[in-house]
Amino acid sequence: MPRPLSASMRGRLVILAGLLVSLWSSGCRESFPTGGMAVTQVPTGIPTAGGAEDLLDLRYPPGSRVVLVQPPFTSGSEQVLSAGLSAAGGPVASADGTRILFAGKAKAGGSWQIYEAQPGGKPARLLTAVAGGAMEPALLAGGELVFCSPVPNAANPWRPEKPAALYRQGPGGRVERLTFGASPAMDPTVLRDGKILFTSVRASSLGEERPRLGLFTINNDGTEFTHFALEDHGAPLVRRPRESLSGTVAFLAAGTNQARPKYAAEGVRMAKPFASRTPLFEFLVERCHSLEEDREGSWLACIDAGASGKPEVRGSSAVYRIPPGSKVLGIPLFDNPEWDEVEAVPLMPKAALMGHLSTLMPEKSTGTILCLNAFFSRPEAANSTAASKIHRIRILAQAGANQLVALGEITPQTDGSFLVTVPAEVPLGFEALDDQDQVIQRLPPSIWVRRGENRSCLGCHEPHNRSPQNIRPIAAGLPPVNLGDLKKASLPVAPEYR
Amino acid sequence: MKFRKIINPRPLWAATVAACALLMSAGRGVGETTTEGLPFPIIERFENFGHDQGIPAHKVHVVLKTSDSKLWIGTWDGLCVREENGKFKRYGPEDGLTHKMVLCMVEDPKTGDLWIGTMRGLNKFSGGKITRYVQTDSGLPNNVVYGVDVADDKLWVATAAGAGVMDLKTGAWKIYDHTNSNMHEPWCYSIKGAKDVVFIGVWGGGILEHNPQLGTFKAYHDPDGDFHYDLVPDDGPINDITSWIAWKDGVLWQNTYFGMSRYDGKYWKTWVQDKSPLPSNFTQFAWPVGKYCWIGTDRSATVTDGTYWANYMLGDKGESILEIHRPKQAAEKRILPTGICNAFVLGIWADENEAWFATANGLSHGIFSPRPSVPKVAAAK
Amino acid sequence: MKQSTFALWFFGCLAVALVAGYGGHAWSVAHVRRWTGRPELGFTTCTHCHVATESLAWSKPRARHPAPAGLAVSPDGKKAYIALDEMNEVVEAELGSRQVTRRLAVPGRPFGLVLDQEGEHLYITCRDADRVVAVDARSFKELESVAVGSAPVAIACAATPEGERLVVANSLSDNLSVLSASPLKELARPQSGREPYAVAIARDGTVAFAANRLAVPENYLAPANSELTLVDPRSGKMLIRGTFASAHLAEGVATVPQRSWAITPLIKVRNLVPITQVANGWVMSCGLAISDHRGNIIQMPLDEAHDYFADPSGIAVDPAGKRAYIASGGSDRLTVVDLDRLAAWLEKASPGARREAIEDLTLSSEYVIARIPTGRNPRQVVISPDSKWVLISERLDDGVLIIDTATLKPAGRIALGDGGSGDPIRRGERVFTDAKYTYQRQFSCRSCHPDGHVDGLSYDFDGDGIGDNLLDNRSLQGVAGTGPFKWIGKNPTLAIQCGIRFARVLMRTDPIPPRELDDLSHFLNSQPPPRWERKQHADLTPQQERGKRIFFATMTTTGKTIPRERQCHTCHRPPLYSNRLSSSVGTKGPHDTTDMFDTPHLLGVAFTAPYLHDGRAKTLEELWTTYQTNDLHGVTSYFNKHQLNDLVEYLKTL
Repeated sequence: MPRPLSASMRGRLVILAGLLVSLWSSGCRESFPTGGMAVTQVPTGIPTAGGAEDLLDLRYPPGSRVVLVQPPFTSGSEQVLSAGLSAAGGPVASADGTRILFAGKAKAGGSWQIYEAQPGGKPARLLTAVAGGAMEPALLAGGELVFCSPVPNAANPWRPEKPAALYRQGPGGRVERLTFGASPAMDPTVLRDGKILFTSVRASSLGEERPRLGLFTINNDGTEFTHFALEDHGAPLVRRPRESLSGTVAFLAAGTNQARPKYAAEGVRMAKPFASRTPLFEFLVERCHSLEEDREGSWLACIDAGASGKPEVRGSSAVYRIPPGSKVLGIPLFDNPEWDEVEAVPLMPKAALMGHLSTLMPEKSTGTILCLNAFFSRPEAANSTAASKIHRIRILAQAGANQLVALGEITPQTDGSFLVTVPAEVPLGFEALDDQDQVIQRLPPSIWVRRGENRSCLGCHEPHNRSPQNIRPIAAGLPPVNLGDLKKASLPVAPEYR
Repeated sequence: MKFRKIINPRPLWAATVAACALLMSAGRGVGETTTEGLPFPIIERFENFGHDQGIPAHKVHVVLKTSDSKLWIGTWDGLCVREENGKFKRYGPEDGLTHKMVLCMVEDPKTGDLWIGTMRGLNKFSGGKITRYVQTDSGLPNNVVYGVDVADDKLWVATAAGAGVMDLKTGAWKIYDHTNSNMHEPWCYSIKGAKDVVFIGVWGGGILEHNPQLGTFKAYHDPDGDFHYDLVPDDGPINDITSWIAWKDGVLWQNTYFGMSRYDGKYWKTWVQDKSPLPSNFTQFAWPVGKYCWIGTDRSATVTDGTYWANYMLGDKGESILEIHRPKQAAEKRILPTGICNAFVLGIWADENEAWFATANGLSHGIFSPRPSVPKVAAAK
Repeated sequence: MKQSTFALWFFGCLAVALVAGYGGHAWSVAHVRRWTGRPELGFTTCTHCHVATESLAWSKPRARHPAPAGLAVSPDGKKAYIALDEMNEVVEAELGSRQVTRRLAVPGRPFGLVLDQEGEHLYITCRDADRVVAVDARSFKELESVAVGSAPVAIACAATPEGERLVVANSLSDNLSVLSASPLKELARPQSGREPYAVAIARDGTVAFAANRLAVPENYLAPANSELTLVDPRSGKMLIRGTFASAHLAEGVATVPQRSWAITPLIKVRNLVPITQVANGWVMSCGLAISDHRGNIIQMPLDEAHDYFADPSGIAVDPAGKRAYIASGGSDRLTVVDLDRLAAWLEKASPGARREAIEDLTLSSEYVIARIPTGRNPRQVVISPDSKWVLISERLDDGVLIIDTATLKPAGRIALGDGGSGDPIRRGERVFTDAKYTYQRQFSCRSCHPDGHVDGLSYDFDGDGIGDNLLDNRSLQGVAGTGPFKWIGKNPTLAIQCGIRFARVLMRTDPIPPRELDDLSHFLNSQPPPRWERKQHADLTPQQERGKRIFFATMTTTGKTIPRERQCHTCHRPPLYSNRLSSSVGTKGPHDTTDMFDTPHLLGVAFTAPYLHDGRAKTLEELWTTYQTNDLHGVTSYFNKHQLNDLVEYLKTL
């Protein structure tokens, strides 16, 4: 007759069982099969709403849903991932293709938040609970979430009172802000090198009624804010940048003279992003809703091929797979005539993303800026011929909404270098002054440094994608000029231009 | 006899005797050229160079023509090279030279590198680039580099604190001074590689002969022991205050401020101004060419093979004087159309075709007069 | 046993153990203080100072792999010759079948090789044996050899009006050997730049180009320039010393006869700029130096704005002068450059544009036409005489990749081994040479530590503030057992040194994963000091013996006792010539935040210029002349020049 288990043996078995359960739940969960795609479907024939809606309400009207479609991509075979939500859209997939995130609204009138789709028909899991809403998720190398918040007004998302910023959500739901510019930051995507690529307003058009957008990057901790691509030429509205393995960053671009912009597909090459803007396809695409890299160099695009001719009414949008070198659009890969497919994301393993260990020092309230040569400017920059006459540099800060202050002025060293401590996480700008105190060059408050960040630049409006000369800046051998206390800033500045 | 009928011996004999006499009087073998019966070329005129040609200082200490036919001079204010347009390009401390005062130069025959001794360090000019060696960052014994030579892949330096040698293959330095050789004191004024040995001219120490293979030193001192006079001629180095030494084809030449000497490995020969055609006892440079040698004194540029002499001097009115001394003949005196720029000759470079003189006031180029060739003896029929 | 007896025994033993332990501890502390002369030191383990080299990884046997080094192709394009330096072997392979057909044992680490024009003789440089070996290509037997300079790594051959000539790069003696091929003898040994690593001879035989890896130290706060040495291969006469301005690690050179060019891949380093980022080539970028026969050099970028091709080394140019093929060892890619397009850009560029070209990371798209993935660590490149095939040595995959130049795609591979992935040292070497661990693959460990050694530069890491604590790059050769690491001795192990902090301040990416970090440590620990084997069998010269006595002196020559803490061998204790403790030797600079520095080991110190923690001393002599610190860095003020020279010559033997 078997002996009853001893207390100690029972205890060990319980522990073992618990271990097995936790292992199963952490590492053995069900994931989405690769090969399919996540698609945003918007009900067809719905008139566009007025300007009172927020941006996602405009993109994903009530009834919009995120679905999973598997090969052979038969219409009607979709599996709804956003079941139970009043509206959903903007799916993104993880680099290994097994996780799907999207923005969703639990009920009409509620706020948009980020959800993670669950396999097996389970309800999507709520990931964020951010006041003002969250949208446009992206995933970092370690699986952490990046999103944009708040959801801006649809009428003029680029000039709201409270600009949208990028945030990062870490373990335990801790949310950390990443961008601190004066203008909104939206449409984040994570590049293979680990940087976050997003859209924001170009510094030269800050304050304009219809600002011109560019592509920018930051590290995954919000440091090294850099203008990545798109400058003075080309269509000013830009959305949804996406990197491809072939070294191209594709995006949607549209002019500003339309109530509902008609986005075309364009791209820049990573090898020379400021000098390679070009249509992405050899054929004309008048209304493209999304672009994502697919297998073997193809693009997965949602395109309005048969526009209804009534821009205020949605046309018939479908998913297309466009192989490299295609001369014509071809037939849709997936099209459900009862829906407009406006976004499609392939579920497939992609190149692993690089991480980045943060250099932040949370205990500090300042950062440092090292300029190697304030006299160095690109030839086409405004007033560049006057660069050599720079006498002083005035550092500006956006202390609050519409409150511009001057932190102070510094004199560059004879080699043009300067090293300055500045307040962290406020929009900063520069004015280069001549010996008559006239402003020769100006950068409105649009950049920032994070706590403890050491930030460098080559010069004043320096050429893009330039590496520095190997010269020891004089300023590096001296203590930094301390302009780090916002409270000591002087009165608002009225810029006087030359 | 048949032989006597074919050849008439008398004309042949007479021609042979005459030819031999002619050749013997010229002191040359068959086929060699001579200038007026002298064993060395004669300068017929001088070309002079100074500030107008870009030479930065009056004092030119050293002149050297390298194997690529470039002319280099070391001056009180920089190193210069003569460019194709005839002007001199200067290199100074701003170009990397350790000091502006250039004292000596030598070319490495294998690589063409130019080694330059200055008042504060040693330099190598190679491929257009200057590499510096000073005593604080290398094995150089001392920064005051008076003499330099290259022999058997080794660089020899004579400095104010001993002689040094750098192995050009490994970069290792050795120093020889009064602590590890029979140097009287470490102040070395010149150094010259010879066959298997190296000669070091030591200020106050005569001449040292060093055998690098054996590691030995042999000293040559003035046997007289008298500072001012050559009491017994031809008994050894004329004086222990050696200002310069030179060596060529087995013959060592010594300059001192009290005359000069020559040593052929067996016999010494000494000269002083009162007892020889040497114009001045104050000799500071020697440049042998074959069996004859150019000498720089404070009053002349002189060339001699020990028997025949030619002195190029300046008269009281600045006229250019050439004095030719032949044995058992009165000195021949000529006035040349142009003279050496200054009679204080600090350095010389010469070959069979030309001679250059570094002087206390500029650079002079001695243009040789053409040398007639001796007719060859007709072959016997 | 009664309880009382047990308790007595127990507490008795405990007391004895405590007394013994305390006593041992006290003795140990006293021992350390006595032999270092430093009363502030505390407990130190025995093995901290008492190290046996036999216990170190680099002195133990390790697996050898058929890692290909030099390559050559026969004139008929049918055979390839490959040097396998780790195996002391040269092999001949059939290109058609991709099979090795013959092997020849060549002792002394055969590294570079070249075939003469007729393909009858193969000349091989033996890196450890300091000789060049001539092999009959038909019989595949050694004919003769000649001694050359130290560590010859590259060789070129050309016909000249004066006969066939060979030019050899002697990487550790900083000179070239110019040889006549027949008879095989050295004609001249002109001095080159520092660490010549590649040679090529112009087709007309009038000029040879030698690319040098490092700069001779001048001023640690000024850009370091390495050299392109031009010599006359007929005589060995020096022609021109060209300058790679602020660039280094040139490991390949090829000539373009049609344009009278020599092209050298190199790294454009920015060590003087504080490392606040890696993006935009902030630490370094790669380029090509285009030189004419007069030593005029223009540098052009090889990298792109957001992708880098780290550690460019081998280069080959097709006989028609149309394309250049450059291997990037850190990025596992072969870059193909259209030389006509490159020339066209140069022709229309202004002098200012040419001067700044190397800094424009977008420029390479003008002339780069392909980037071909290769196996691991591609280093040498050769092209077949008919231009059909490019061969690339995949050094850490034990193979030679063959690329079809018409399609620019791989056409096959000569497999020499299995890649050695079962060997942790080999795996670690892959980590060491792989740029994927840095942001945008900008550089690898090897980029700053070529062959595990130094690049001779000082860097400003911003982790401790911009401008503070400039740090001289230290050698990793012989690094095993010399921890702690970092100039302030903060990191106890290599894994910590190369771990998180390194990822944060330099790599700007994720840290190296633990398993790879472990392999990397294995690799680093396996690196012996330079020329270690040779030094064990070399006798000291009299000068070096005198220097050794000075190094171990306990008294000055005047009989004055040298305090123990100032005796050289106290801190620089054999066999590693470091006691692995931090000391203050009076070398704190104006931007240093501390004066306590970890004692560096001196093995291979002859090759690690410049010196001191910030690299301010150009030569060893300067440590006790220009940077004499009132006898804090050893009592040396009594030295005369003989003694200083002797000491330096002894240090060079370590």
